Order: sequence, then C-alpha cells, then structure tokens
Amino acid sequence: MDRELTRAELDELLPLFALDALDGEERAQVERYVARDETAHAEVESLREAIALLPPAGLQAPASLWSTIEGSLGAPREHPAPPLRLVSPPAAPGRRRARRPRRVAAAVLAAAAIVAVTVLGVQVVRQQHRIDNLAAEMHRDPMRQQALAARASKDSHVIRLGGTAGNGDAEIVMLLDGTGYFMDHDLPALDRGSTYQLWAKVGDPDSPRMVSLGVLGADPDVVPFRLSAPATMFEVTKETAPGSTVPDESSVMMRGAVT
Amino acid sequence: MEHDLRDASDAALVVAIARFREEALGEAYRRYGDAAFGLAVRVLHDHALAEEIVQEVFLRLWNDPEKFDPGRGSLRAFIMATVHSRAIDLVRAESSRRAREARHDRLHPHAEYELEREIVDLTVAEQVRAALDGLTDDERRAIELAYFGGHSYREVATLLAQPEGTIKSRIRVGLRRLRDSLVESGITSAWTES
Repeated sequence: MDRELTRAELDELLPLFALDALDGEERAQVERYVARDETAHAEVESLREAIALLPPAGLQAPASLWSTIEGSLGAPREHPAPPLRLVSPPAAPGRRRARRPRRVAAAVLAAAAIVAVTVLGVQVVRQQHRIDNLAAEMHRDPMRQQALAARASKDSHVIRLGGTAGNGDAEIVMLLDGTGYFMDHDLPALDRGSTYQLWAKVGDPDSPRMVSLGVLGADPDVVPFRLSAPATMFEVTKETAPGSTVPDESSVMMRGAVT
Repeated sequence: MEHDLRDASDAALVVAIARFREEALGEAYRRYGDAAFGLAVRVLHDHALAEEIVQEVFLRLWNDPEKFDPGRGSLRAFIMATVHSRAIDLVRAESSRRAREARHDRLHPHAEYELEREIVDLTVAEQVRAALDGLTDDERRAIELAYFGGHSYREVATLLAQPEGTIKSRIRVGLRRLRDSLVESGITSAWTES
C-alpha cells in the first residue's frame, strides 16, 4: 500500500478492522482514521459489540488462572518504584566483604523508611489519578453533545415521550442512518436493582412487534441506540435489572408515537 | 463476592477496579473470564498461550482501568476485542501456526467448528442464532476464518480461492447485517451499556 486511502475506502474497511482482519499499512491507516473520526470510532465499537457475542462456548478457564491473576495484583505495577537495596550484593569470589559501620546501616534503614513512605504516598496519589481520569472519561459527556448535534441536524426526527401517569418528559432523536438518541429530561432515578428500558414498535402495522433498543440504566441521561427498521411508537418501561426480553404493558412509564 | 458488585454496571465495576478493589476485578473475571479464555483458545489452539493472554488482559484492566470508556461500549466487548487483538498479534507473529493447528486437529479430530454452537449466553442464544441465520454461508465462512482463524482478509481470500474484493464484501456485509439484526432484537444496542 503506497497511497493514502480515501474516506470511502476507509469506511468500507471498518468492519474488517473491527474483526482484526486487516494487517500492514491498511490496518495502520484505518487505525489512524478511527482515532480521529468519531463516527468511524462509533461504528467500530458497535460492530465489536456484536462480534463479542461470538466467542466459543463450553470452554471454562482453568481454576488456577484466576489464582495466577490474583497473585499478580500485588506485584509491582506499570511504573514500579526502584527496589530497596538493603543488602549489598555478594562480594566477588576471593574478595573479602568490607565491614559496614553501624551508623551506615542506620542511615540505610532511615533512607528505606523514607522511600517506603514515599512509595505509599505515590500509591495514594496514583489511585486518585486513576479515579480522576476515569471520572473525567465518564463525565466529559460527549454523548450529550452528539445528541444535541443530531437534534440540530436537518435530517433528524424528534419524538417526544410523555409519562403514562401524566408526568415525565423525554425525547427520542432519530437520524436517517438509524442512529438514535434517548434524551431524558426528568425521569426519576430508580432504586438499585431496577432499570429503565427503551422499546420501539416496528414491523407490519397489522401485526407490529416491540423490540428492545437497550436498557437505559437506573438514572439515564443520554443513551444512544441503533434502529434499522421504521418505528411507529417508542416506549420506556421500568424493569428489574438487567432488563426484560418482552415489555409488560403495566411497566410502561413513557411513550410517544412517531408522527 | 460482595452482592453490590454482582449487580454493578460495567462503569461501576471499573470505578471499583480503579479504587484497587480486587473483588471488582474478580467480578469482571467471573463475568467474562471464560469467554475470554474460550476466544483465546479458539484463535491460538494453545491453552497455555491463551492463559497468558487472559492474564495479561485482566492485569491491563487492573493497571489501566481508564482505558475502558463506558460511554463507548460494554466491558465485555472491550475485553473480547483486547483478547482477540493480542491473540491475533501472536498468531501472525508465530511462524509455527500450521504446526499448532495440525497438532490441535490431531488432538481434537471432531472439533469441527459450527458458529451456531459457539454462542456464549443461553439467554441470548436464540436471537444470536437468528441473526446468524440471516447470513449467507459464504459470509459466515469468511467471518469465521477471519475471526476465529486469525486470518487477514487476504489470507481468507487465498484459503477460499476467491478475489480479495469478494471476501472484503462478504465480511463487511455479513458483519453489518449481524450487528443490525442484534441491535434490532435488543441484544446489543450500539454503545449502550447493560
């Protein structure tokens, strides 16, 4: 490969990239494209969700494997502190080990204590960094920005959902390519063990069926989904976690017809 | 295992891992360890190497939990993609693949691969099978050789004596149809975390 692939060519290769079926320069080019293009990244992630359902069944990991992993957790991590050297290396054969004055030993122990405190301090700081980084990832909220951009698009279709009990408000934003966003406005947070679930009514108008578009969690904000068939109605139900395969009429909290 | 972790979402689980809670990593392993191991064995035909990769992937999750973005996909997809990528790296760097496959075939002469049988979760088996039924035999074969065989699409084209463009098309069309079918049935919802 001695040329830059076009955007159309890169898009065509996304499924093969998701499947790890590319190599060499093609793989490198698609990897760079996915890293810089949000839509391509989302496409690869959604394909990998489907691919992840296809691993071999019937194989159990050996019982010893978790023990091995667990035993490695206490090992030095990615950037370990330099090992403490409280014992000098063995003297070379034939040479007499130098006698170490007592005050030197005391100094070494003191230094070791300082290093140990420093290591503990670094560990605490590092843990906080891990949590901060993760929290930042979780709260940077690109999804809301994506949904708002989709909502502002001239190709979008917005469906308002109203609470079946007269309260509650949410929106569905649908794009022509089947990408959709659920945007909650005032659904109350559920207790642990419960979740909201989004459904769409699709199929022949004479015999429609409800398909799940995914669970929304106990306190949803903006949740993306994909819908490849035309829908006539959207519903949000309250379900016991992890969700249901069939919607129960009595559990419908919100609904909205596609006009 | 603490009850709250059994019910924890992927995001909550990874936050707990970031707090160095070993039982959270244990819960992640309980959920996805077997599937990860099964995938690695399938690609590598080598139990010892598969164990190494699974260990490496879970330790990576322990060391760098922020690499997982719960807004982008499920923890299952993240782990499986990482396992597969590592296994592929090994397979493609391993010149003795044919020898290992031959050894595996000798040891497992009746282990003929059937995609439908290799579905991980009984609760979703029916819908995944229906999605797979929507693929043509040619599409399924190309996806199978690429994913579980660890082959690039060019290698698949050679193996099946087909033009590269044909194989690219089969994988692309088949995979997107599989994804759309699973999304429509509610098994996966694009990036939605379950």
